[in-house]
Amino acid sequence: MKQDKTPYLFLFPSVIFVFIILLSPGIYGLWQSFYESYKAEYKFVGIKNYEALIKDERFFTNIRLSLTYLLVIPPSIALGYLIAILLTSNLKGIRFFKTIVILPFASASIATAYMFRSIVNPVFGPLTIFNDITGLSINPFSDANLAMIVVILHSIWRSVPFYALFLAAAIESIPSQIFEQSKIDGAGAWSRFKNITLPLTLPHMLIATLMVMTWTLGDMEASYSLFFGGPGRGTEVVAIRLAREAFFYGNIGLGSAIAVFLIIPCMIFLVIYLRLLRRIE
Amino acid sequence: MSEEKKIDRRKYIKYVGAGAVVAAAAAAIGYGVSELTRPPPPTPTTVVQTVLKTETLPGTTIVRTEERTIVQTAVTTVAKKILKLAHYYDPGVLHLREGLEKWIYPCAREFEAKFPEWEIHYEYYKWDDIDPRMIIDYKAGIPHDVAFLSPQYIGRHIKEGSLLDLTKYIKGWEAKDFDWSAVWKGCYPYMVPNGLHTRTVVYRMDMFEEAGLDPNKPPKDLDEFVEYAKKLTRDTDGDGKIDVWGLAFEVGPDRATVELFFAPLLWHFGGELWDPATKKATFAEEPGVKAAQFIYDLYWKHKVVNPATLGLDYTSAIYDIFLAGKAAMAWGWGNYWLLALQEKGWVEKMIPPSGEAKAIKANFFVTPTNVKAQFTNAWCMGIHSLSKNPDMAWEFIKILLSKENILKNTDAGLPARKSHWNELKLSANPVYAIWEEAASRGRPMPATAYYGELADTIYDVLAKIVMEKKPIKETLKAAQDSWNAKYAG
Repeated sequence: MKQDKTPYLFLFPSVIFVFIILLSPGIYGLWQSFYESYKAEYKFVGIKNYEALIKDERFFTNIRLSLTYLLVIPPSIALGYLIAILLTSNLKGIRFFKTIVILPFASASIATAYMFRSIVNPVFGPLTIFNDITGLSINPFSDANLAMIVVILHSIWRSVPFYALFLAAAIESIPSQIFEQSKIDGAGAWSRFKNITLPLTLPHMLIATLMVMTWTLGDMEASYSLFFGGPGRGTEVVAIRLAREAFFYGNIGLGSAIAVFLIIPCMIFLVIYLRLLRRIE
Repeated sequence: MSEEKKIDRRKYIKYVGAGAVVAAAAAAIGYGVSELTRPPPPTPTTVVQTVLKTETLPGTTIVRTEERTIVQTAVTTVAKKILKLAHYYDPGVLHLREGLEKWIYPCAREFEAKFPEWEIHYEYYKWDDIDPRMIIDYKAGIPHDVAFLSPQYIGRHIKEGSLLDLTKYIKGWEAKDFDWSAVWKGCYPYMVPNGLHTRTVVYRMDMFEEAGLDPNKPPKDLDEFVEYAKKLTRDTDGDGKIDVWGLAFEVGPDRATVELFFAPLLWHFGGELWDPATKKATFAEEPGVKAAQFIYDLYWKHKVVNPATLGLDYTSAIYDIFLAGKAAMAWGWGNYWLLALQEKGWVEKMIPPSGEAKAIKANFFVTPTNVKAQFTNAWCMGIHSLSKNPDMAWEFIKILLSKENILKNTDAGLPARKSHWNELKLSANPVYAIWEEAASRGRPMPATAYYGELADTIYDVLAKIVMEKKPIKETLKAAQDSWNAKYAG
């Protein structure tokens, strides 16, 4: 039987549109990564930008810090799941809690980063009171490890509501009959969670995790607003390095090469995400 | 059913009500913000017309003249030509908002009145983003016209070709009136300065007295300076904790760290950041080691700077600390911050500049480094290479920099025009004399095309030395080698 090709014809303008809007910047970026530009002229340099990155110790530190940044995920899942269970319960005042819980996720990350920045300011922020009481001299502005912890904490604070809402929706989508049936069969709360809730929400959890991973790897605004990539280059994740090279220093070619490096894991996550999504559907 | 409907209706009303409240709040905020950032409407022009009026009375006709005043507000329907102004005047910052309202907007209105077919369009960028943005937009083919620029980026602008050579415009203009060598050398012929930014050490005279120091005898050299700072570092309430530190200093994540703190010390010890002949960084030579050691000692040996301020940016580490009374002296105090001192009543008659300026509670002294070991710069104005209207852009620059207008720029720092110094008798004023001396000791940053990378590298290396206490010589050398491997030549 011959297939009707008319629908493809109607889809063609949309495909062109998607190509121009979504794909062409990526392709242009890839093209730029093989060039150097001065005086608005582009000079083909082959893989020079990639070579420079591979030889650059600083870039490997950037990768290490980006991977460290992904430590956001385990505590966010745990806390998010806990809150999701609370949100789906029939506790009193849960509707108010639902509204509150979304706030960190709904607020602009730059604004919340500045808020965190003021909290940990060692001269004027509440941290000074803590330091005074304990006699410690905690200063994330001069300690790269502490700074990274604050960056991660800020991200956890923002990711938990996302996990909570996403997983709450997943829990609510489980037919109530399954729980009722298991109760009749004598299953306890833990058993119901272990054998019903967790397995049935696992794909959702993975999807949420992939999304958070992609955001975290690409996050520049929050991490930069917190410590400007410092102290020194102590929180300079790959996304900050990219912004520095491309937009602060004007090294578009090198910046594009970093973007290509950054996009590879994100693409892998995307493929897994799409497969999982298909499986759920 | 009707009950359900009732509930639905109630819900509906509730949501609509909540929506309306949110919308009203958003509209109010939006209106507030737009009011804050919106340029004021054109001033209505007042025209005095003389008309002949005839009055007929029985048997006679009286003709008399009458003057009447008509207020006209320009209403234009013709599409105007656009001239873009890229600026950094953040309306959320006191002295920058003043600059917008008292200098930029009135100048734009003057320009629009002189050239009625033109209209100024404003483009706001963060102060340290404006130069990179002009460069990137040039690469991307996005045109701008007039732009506020920083001379530290001149090397990069030249390398990229992002700015127009202004020689032909400058030739027929009052350039000599602006000829402050530290700035002019650093920006000619691509930019013209609209002020003069230099720094001194600001100090609290009352704290000097409390520490047994004569407020009229500031330290003369770095050794004496450290001794003063030690005496000024005090536990005022006897709880065993330092309340007032002798000095506010910065090792932080911005260009100020190299420009105002490391470079002046490096120059003082006889070094250079970068060698224009070999185009190599030279900050790790002996003078650089001495400069880094001096900075390290301020925090950890002499203990005159609060280590909690390490890693804070320039404004937090210097401006906030000094104004909060947590430091008796602040190194790198810019003249762009005079308004804040004046608002506090610590100085008077400095903004606008006046020969009657007076130090009340805070005074200044020239940073006790050697002569020509001080950074002086200015905000400059230039024309983007892709500008399609360079002649009009220059006309607008001329209006902004005219003798009448330029003094209204609250972020200019010291007056850019030398003639103003004479007319306002600033040099004869003891407070301004200090600032003039500081400016005369100034020099620009090296014109490397990789200035941003150099400044970041130096902050990173200082963070390692001062915060992580890494060995000075080796750490500086490693950073210098790494920079040279990428950007030298």
